[in-house]
Amino acid sequence: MHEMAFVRNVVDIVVEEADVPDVAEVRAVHIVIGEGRDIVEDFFESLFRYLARGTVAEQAEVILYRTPYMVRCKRCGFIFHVNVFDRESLACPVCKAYREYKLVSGLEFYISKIEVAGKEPSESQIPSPEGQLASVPAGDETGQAKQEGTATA
Amino acid sequence: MNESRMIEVKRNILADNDRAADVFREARKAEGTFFIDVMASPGAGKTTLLLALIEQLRAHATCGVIEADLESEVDALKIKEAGVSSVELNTRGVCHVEMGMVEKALAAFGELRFDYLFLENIGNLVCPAEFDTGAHVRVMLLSVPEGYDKVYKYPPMFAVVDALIVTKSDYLSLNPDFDMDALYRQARVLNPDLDIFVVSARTGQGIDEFAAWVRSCRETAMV
Ligand SMILES: Nc1nc2c(ncn2[C@@H]2O[C@H](COP(=O)(O)OP(=O)(O)OP(=O)(O)O)[C@@H](O)[C@H]2O)c(=O)[nH]1
Ligand SMILES: [Mg+2]
Ligand SMILES: [Zn+2]
Repeated sequence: MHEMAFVRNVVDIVVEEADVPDVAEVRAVHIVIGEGRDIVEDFFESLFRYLARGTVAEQAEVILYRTPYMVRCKRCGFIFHVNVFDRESLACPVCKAYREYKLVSGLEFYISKIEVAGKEPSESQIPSPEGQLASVPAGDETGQAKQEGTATA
Repeated sequence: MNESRMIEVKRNILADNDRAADVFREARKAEGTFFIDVMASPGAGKTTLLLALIEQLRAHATCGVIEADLESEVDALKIKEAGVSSVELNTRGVCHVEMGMVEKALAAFGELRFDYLFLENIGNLVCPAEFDTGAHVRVMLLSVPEGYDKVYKYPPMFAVVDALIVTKSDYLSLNPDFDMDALYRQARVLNPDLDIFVVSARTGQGIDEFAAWVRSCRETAMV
């Protein structure tokens, strides 16, 4: 049942990140989850639906990316995937060192990005409380919009 | 409909808990307390092993135990009966321990401080592994009656711990199918540096070695 704790944090972070003057709604939330994280994906989504009610993210689609276990070879530094069920996969493909590595990914759990929709043009021309125009162009994918938004905060 | 755009977020979902855990770890270190998180399935022998371990440590050090349980106070009382300070951390049905609970449990000790502080985590091989508890080391117990083939069922637990303690080794003669070599091999797939101990609180086998490891971990962590 720890999905509850996770999703609560997800909703909090999304709402905080979307708290930019010109954002009207969050359309999608992209989440990266290592394969080692014990997550029931369907349950995760329905919990999100439930906990996001009444927030800007209430309509958002949840997009989960599962990342595999990756290890770094202690001998040569090569990074490769290990399959827990396949002994052959425990040898470094470059230097053949067997099970001499450190886990570098597979346990991550973070929100990578959110897709947001801006307000109607008429709305976004209204000066923000700081007296600045919230004239961030829609469709800007560089993340610049967010920086401008937070710089005034 | 309005055009949409992406906002880069890159924020760890458990960042708040992780940050609180780091702060807790540092604070315990500053006051000389070495904090150990003990995880296992129900009945694996956590309380029994802690009592055997503390028996060895207490001659030269002070020890305290946080007993995390879904409901009861049974284990906390067992520890107190042995003359060891203990507080009950009742999670009221929550499957894991988060930092807020650990901080409250420590506060329940009042002014008491210890050289070794143990957390007997919730009996569960899945959920506790997901949350940093602010411990300096985390260990996992697997009892012989549970069977050796747990690694593939609960890989993250094996990945996040510093040591695996195979408990109830006195059962080995009754369970000839317990494949110790396979367990060692599988347990180290995601964690090649994992330390592994085989112990029995019943016969005392391996308890000295485990206690020596705990002491040396404390020395390493406290510098
Ligand atoms: N034979 C044998 N039995 C043991 C050993 N260690 C513990 N036990 C028994 O296993 C049972 C469970 O032990 P506990 O120490 O209560 O286990 P626990 O993991 O703390 O259990 P919960 O807190 O209820 O999850 C008890 O009956 C113990 O006497 C051991 O080394 N050998
Ligand atoms: Mg117990
Ligand atoms: Zn290599």
